[in-house]
Amino acid sequence: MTEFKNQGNTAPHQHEFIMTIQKALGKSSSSDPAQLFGTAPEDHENQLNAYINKSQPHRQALLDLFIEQAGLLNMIVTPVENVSQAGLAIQKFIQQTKPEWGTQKSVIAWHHPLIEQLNLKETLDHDVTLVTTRSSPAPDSKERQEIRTHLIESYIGITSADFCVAGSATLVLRTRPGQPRAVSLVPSIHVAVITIDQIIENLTELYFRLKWDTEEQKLGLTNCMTFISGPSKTGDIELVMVNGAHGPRQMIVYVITG
Amino acid sequence: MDKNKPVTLFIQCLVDSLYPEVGQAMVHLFEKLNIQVDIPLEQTCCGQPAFNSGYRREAKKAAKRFIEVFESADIIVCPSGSCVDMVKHQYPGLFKDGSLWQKRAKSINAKIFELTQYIVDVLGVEDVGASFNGRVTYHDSCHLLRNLGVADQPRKLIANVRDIHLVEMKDAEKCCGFGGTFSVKYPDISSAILEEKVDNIIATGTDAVVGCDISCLMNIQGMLSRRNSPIKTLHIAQLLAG
Amino acid sequence: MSDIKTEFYKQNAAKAIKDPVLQHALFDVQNRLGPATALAYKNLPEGLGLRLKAHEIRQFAINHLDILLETLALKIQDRGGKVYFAKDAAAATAYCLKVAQVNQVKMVVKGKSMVTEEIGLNKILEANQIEVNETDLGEYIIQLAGETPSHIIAPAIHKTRKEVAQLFTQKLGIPYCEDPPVLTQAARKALRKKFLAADMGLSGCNLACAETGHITTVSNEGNIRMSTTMPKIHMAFMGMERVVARLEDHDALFRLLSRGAAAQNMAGYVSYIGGPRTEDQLDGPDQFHLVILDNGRSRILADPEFREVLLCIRCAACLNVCPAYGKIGGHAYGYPYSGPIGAVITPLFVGINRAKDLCCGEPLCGACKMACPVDIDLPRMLLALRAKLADGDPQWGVTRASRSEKFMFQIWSVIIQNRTLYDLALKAGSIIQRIIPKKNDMIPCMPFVFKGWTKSRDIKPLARASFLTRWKNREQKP
Repeated sequence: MTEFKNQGNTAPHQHEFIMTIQKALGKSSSSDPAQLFGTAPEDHENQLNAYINKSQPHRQALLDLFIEQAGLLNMIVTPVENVSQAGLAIQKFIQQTKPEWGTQKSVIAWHHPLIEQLNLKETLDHDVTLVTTRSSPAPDSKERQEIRTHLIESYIGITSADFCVAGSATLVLRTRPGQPRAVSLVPSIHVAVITIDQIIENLTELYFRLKWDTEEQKLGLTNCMTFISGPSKTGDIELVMVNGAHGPRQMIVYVITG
Repeated sequence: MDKNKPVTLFIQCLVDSLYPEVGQAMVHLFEKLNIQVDIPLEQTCCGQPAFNSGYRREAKKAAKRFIEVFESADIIVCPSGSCVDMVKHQYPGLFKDGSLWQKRAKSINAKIFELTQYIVDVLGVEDVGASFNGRVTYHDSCHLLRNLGVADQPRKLIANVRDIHLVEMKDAEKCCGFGGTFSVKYPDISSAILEEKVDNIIATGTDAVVGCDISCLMNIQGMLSRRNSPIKTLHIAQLLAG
Repeated sequence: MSDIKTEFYKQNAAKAIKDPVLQHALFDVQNRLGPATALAYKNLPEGLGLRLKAHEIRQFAINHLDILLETLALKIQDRGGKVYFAKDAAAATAYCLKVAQVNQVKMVVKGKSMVTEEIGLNKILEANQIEVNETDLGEYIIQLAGETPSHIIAPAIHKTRKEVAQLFTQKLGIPYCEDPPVLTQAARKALRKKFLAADMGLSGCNLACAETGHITTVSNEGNIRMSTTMPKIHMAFMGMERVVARLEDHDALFRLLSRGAAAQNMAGYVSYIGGPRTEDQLDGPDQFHLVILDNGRSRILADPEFREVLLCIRCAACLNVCPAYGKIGGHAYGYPYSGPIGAVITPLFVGINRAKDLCCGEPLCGACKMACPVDIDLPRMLLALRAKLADGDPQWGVTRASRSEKFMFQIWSVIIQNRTLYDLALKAGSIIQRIIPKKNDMIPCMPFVFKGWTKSRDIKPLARASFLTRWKNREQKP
């Protein structure tokens, strides 16, 4: 641990710093922060309802938009009718692909109801190692180290997502117990499984729901919320676009439409 | 607005001293449009060279003089986007907020126009009955395009010239590298920018490059001449007077 | 502090102009990104007007910077994060070094961050035997080559694939290959080891959110996620201006940032980070530190003329359209911030006199303002800087840059106030001009200050009689 223990609000470096800013702004004291962040719009309940209870055709249209946008980012979106079809598709995908590093086929998956229903444990070939993370109130360093080791060995990471923003093909993932952030990052291939009702229109809808939906407020943004729009990429050598810089080289999303 | 209302011409200093033929063309153009012109003989320079180099006190002197010479005019028309931009957008800031001089500067705002802006937007004329037998390309000058928002007006006027063929160059809206005293103080950078502009002009295979600012055209002409290119530079007033 | 070489603007610009490889790279980056970004703005559902909205959002944040930073800090501290307010580069680097030393850090991995370039962090860590690995591919390339970034978001655009291939063969020991995917894979492999072994990850911060208490990091490669997830300690550096009030402010700003930077709808990865790993989480850093940096920004904030420059979100869209940057590249600016934004902000950081060529060395074409996702009026501020150089300014400690130029404009101002004098001056000019040789009615070589002008282009001589003289004579004749 460092010696910088909770310096809190009154640390001299902070106090002096903020005073300098106030002086530069020509202010004598700071205003109430709450009023800077806005209050819920009067019709926010209606707006939320409209967002949450989208019609079937609207959902289909958003799925189509997501597929179209994902295509531009080399991100494969496969609609499937139900979760067992998703499980079969993933099983087949694992059969047909090879690890980027080494020969052992290791897969790591989030502890998540949707992923459990894929039944991968039962269906995967015997040469595939599948590790599903567990959620516990306080995983010790040994458990965390184990997960880290599996994670580094895995060539496929399977997650779900909180939302999927159709307009920019963006998956939104929040960190929870049993859902480590690195599963969508360290393995060479990121597979995500979501349901069609998780697809939303745009960032406006996302931020509105995160901010004003009481269910979302409970969780908040967590200490790490990540937007993922396609596989990792770089254009740093002569602006030539290459997938797979440091994150996953490939990204596949299964959308359960039933 | 009365379409035959007389206009007062503000002749940019570079036109006055280096390209008097552009001023003459402008007079001729207004004659063709049946509009009387008044040209104050006391006018000199709007002060832009000083202002762009940071010399605001000196620019202010030019501004005061400009205001004195032109404030009695009803309509001021100038063959340069950057001079109009200077008068319209920079003069008010040269004077103290709320001062009488600032008010006088602002009173000029609404009545000063760049040539093509005046013909197309105010007079509503897109065909001045000119003809030119050849192919031309059009260079957007920076302040005209970005600060006055003039891009379509000259193109409409050019398109309606008889027998003309307008060929758009690559990056027509990109700077020619003139920038006033910049081109004198940083000739290497200025030239490098100009090289690209001239390459793009030559690539159109046209007979002439047309523009609304003689400063850009002077710069472009300088390099076309150095490269022995037969491409002519034409101020739009010259094209429209023909 | 970063090395300051702003005094060599002219020389370095001239050198860059003569470098055909660099010219090709600059042309390519501008030709591709400039128009693509303009088109991306146009295709926004809200159109170009979204830039004006974003301007207001940023302006609001800057006007409430004190309270927003306090709120941000409080929320991060609540989650167990540490926030350090650094008044200058020395304080920021000292804090980083101290944390590193207390935790026995031997190796750090780093996401691309302009602020860490500004404070010269790498040098200080390296001087203290801490291995620093830049992980953005572009930054990695220039770190291996021992160079500095030449573009805010594409730091290695000045290097060709051939040069990268040679570099990787030499430094990574891979067989020579010019194929970008193969080269990228080589860097991926080499850096993966570093990510997994590093003790500390360093990142910048694109836009913090005060309301929720998060910083955000943006990348396409995933290197910043790696740097902020795998090592035990994550330390983020942010310029104090990089905060907005409300979560929904990020809607307009991220869409504009992605378009401004790379003409994308959305950057590949955006992470909201608000603290260290919680007890129930399986991964993430055990320590999270945020360093908020002033380093001259409060001085800019205090001046209403320049406050607007703090709205910048460092997308580099202005670099991709600037005709001067397009010819001279990033190194000529002599400081990490290049292009039009560098031309304004660098003088304010390092001294206006010291960086006077940055203020004066562009044609003021205004393309940067149009390309700016938050509609910052950079040309206005360039003019304001020039005004300080012209007459000096005690508040910024500026002395008059050129007495002879001032004298010239003083004379000019006398002449232009009197038409008779003006005519005399024109007459004198045309007489002097007679002795200058002409070619096809053009002057191929001018003396004195105009010598540079005619190095590459001719100039038309003064007319025998000015337009106004002709007009006057016409009036006099019946």
